Amino acid sequence: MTYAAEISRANPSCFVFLVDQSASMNDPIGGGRQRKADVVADALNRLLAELSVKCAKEEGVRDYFHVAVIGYGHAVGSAFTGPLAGRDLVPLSQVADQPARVEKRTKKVPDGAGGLVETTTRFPVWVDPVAHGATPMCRALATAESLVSDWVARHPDSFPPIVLNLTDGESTDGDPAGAAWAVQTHVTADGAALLFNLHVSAANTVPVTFPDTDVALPDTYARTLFGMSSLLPPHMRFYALQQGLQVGDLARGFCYNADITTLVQFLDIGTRATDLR
Amino acid sequence: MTTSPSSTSTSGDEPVRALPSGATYVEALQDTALCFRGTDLAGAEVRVDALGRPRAISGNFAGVFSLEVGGTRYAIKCFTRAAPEQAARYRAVGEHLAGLDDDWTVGFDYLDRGILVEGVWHPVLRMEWVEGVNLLRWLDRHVDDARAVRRLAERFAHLVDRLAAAGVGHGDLQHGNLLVTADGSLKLVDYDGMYVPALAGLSAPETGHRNYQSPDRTAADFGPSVDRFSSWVIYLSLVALATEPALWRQLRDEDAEHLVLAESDFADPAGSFRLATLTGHPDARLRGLAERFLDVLLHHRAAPPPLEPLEPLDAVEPSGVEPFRDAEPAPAKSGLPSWMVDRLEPHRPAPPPSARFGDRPRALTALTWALAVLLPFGVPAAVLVDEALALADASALLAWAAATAAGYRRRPERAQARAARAERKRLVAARLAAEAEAARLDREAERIAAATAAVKAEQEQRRRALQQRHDERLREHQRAVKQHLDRIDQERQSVAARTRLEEQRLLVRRQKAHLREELAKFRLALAGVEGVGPRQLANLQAVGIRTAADFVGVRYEQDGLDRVAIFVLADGRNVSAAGVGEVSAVLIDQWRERLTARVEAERPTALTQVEQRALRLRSTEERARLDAEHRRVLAAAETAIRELRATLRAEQVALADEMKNANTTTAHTRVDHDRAATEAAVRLERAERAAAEGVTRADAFRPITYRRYLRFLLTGKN
Repeated sequence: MTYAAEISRANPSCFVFLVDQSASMNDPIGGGRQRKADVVADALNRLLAELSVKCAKEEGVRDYFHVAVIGYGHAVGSAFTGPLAGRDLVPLSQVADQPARVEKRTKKVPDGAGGLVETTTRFPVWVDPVAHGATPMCRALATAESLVSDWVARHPDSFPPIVLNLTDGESTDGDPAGAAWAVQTHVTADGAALLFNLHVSAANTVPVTFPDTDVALPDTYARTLFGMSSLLPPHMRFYALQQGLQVGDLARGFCYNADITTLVQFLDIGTRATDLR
Repeated sequence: MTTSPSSTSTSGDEPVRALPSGATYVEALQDTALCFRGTDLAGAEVRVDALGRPRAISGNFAGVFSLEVGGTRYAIKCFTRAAPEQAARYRAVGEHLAGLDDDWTVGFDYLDRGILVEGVWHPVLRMEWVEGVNLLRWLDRHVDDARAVRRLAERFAHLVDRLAAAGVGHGDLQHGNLLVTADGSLKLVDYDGMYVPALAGLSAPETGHRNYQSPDRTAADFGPSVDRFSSWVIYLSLVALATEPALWRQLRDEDAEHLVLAESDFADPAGSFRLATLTGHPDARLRGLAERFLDVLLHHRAAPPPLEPLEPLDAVEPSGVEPFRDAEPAPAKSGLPSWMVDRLEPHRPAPPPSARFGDRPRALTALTWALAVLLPFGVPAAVLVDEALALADASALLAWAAATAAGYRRRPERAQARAARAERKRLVAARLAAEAEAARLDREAERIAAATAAVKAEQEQRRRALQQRHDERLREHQRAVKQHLDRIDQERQSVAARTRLEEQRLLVRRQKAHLREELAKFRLALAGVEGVGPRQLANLQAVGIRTAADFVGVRYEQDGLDRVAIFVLADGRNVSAAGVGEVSAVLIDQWRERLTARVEAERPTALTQVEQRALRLRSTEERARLDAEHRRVLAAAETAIRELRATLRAEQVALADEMKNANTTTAHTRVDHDRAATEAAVRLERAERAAAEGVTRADAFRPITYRRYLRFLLTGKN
């Protein structure tokens, strides 16, 4: 059976996030006014906070995962800022302890009695929005591949690494399909590394989430991304079904023309590992 | 394929409300005046982490936060996954536990309107805060204190007993839900999956921790016996650790989320090194318990019997053990971590005292003394007295030797010594075998590493070769396309050149026709050329020359003394006209040339429109043909490139599949090998210790020899 390994401190797994930082990420996201780069950075910071909470135990955050955030735009490299700047895979406890800063964010929330009330929350930030340069997706995938390859060599029995690629445009340094498949050739005894792709849209169109065929996809670029994406393992498919999504047996970890909701959902489902105790 | 949903529901019949995530609760709990508005908890102080955010203790279904209000500390459980009939279950559990007088229980209230998150109220479980550490952390600190571990095992067995007596099934008995308090008592927490008699007929909302549950456990297993399997797992682990603390380090990875046994041992008992270690343990009581558990695992996995605790649990007390100190980590000797101390100074029982011979057999002693006294007289007697006496003496000596040897063989000390020496031999042989195995696995590790590197290099090379082949095919194709396009370009140029030539040709033809036409208008008869009279005109006419157009030139041939003028007609024939001499001919030709010059000055310089149109039409057609071919070539090239890329992708996919399969095999080999190597290292360590102990035990029998036996007979001294 694959994708069933126990994730523990003794046998951790890893996430590699690839974040498109090309100039077009400056454009507003489809159906919204925020810049795509801002939305993606925000979603990633939220996710890192969520993972930290999920792995928090009595004695602190456990290193169930190691996490890398790789940006690709004018350069390809770690997208962490602050104390973790320049690092690739970082144990989750260190991620949790070392954000670049903790922002105080004020927002108006319902007070439960029909009114609104202002409240302030502390929001840790690890990744800042960047939008500058081209889209060297092949190089980004090659970086992910080397991290994944190294990981499976050190943890041959772990839950396989998961690579999540968030992009808004076509690769500018060649056909990414080969590099994408190369990522997925690295395996542990529990299965092959997973690569999920999400395309953020600037257009206000209907998102395509976790399709199981590419026939309804609008262009060859979308079909390429589809072909690059791994099948969703059963537990993620099950979780997606619980979330009310219609996902088939052959659903791929791929979203096209994603809006904010789809982005958050994609990250939630795509980082859903086996049960953590 | 689907679009983004706006609502959340489960596949079950029951609509389940979407619950906030852990991080969302963390956000809400930063303002307890708001999130607990109007409840007892309003304004509570939440325990925070280093970033100043509420500190969660997360489980699979909920996060627990510690907060204080009005001087009382609570644990607040916020649910992240919906569970069916949660409120009703908690009510039933609460009512049932309230009727018990047990100290393992932790008080709680299920608050339906518990916490306000983003404008929506969600339930929470408010629990009494228990100061305690979970079983894993407790063992990390106290595992070397065998007495404390043994006491905990007894307490655990008692807890299991109490649960059974109360008809309660916890549902998820595991290290995280067993808290050890400062006074060493056990508290059970997390009642999400708890069974109480009022819940009979329902199914379990969760199936428990994988390292504590039978492989056969399903949600249908929900009743008072639901904890039986996990009780065996925990109790056996505690007994094993109380018997031999080193097992904590030998049988599990540091930070592993299980006690001594784990999921893989339950799934494959026959292949389990851990189970084999326990069932083959030198300690008979541990061995017996482990064998009983193995029997449960093999034959009663789906319906295990109740725990059968050892009674009373008075295992051998290992010497030199620190006294148990509650809620305080056992201080590591010489500042080293406990596992390292263990490694450096393996715990060994004090060597047994040397064995001694027990009571002296009187008859043999007397005989020996008699011989010892008499024997010195034997030889001189034999020489001086009688040979027969010597013979008798020798016989007596032989009989004595036989008697003492038989006596020695009958000694219980000798049997013990022999057994100890045989055991030493066996244990030393086992150690050597374990050493050999570990060494073999080391060599195998090198071989696997080399093979892995080779596979990796080969894959890299094949990937590069694939890309190169594709690039080459692409280049070749592009070269062919370029050649084709170049040829089309050349043809285009030659079409243009041909058109230009044709134009010129037509123009020349037109100019010639024009010249002829115009020249034909000038009759020689009217030209009044000097010396050309009617006779010459008639002769010229006779050879076809009437107008300036009828001839194109004149040449002269010598005929004897005369030069004869030969007219070159328009059709190329050469004629001569009688009576037209050289002089006349020159004049005629000059007339023609004059006229020609005049006519040519007005010759047409362009084609007629009709001609032009025809010409243009033809060249346009040709150009269009070539353009079409150009487009066709380009389109074909694009298709071919697409096909090449598709081929590359197909090859890449095939190669990726192949690589994936090869890497899967490698991963399995490595995992199997790593496991084997870890086990071999532990086996070697245990064999080394056993052999050392065997040697010590055998050494204790060093005085048990025949020679010393004789001395013992003589002197009574050992």
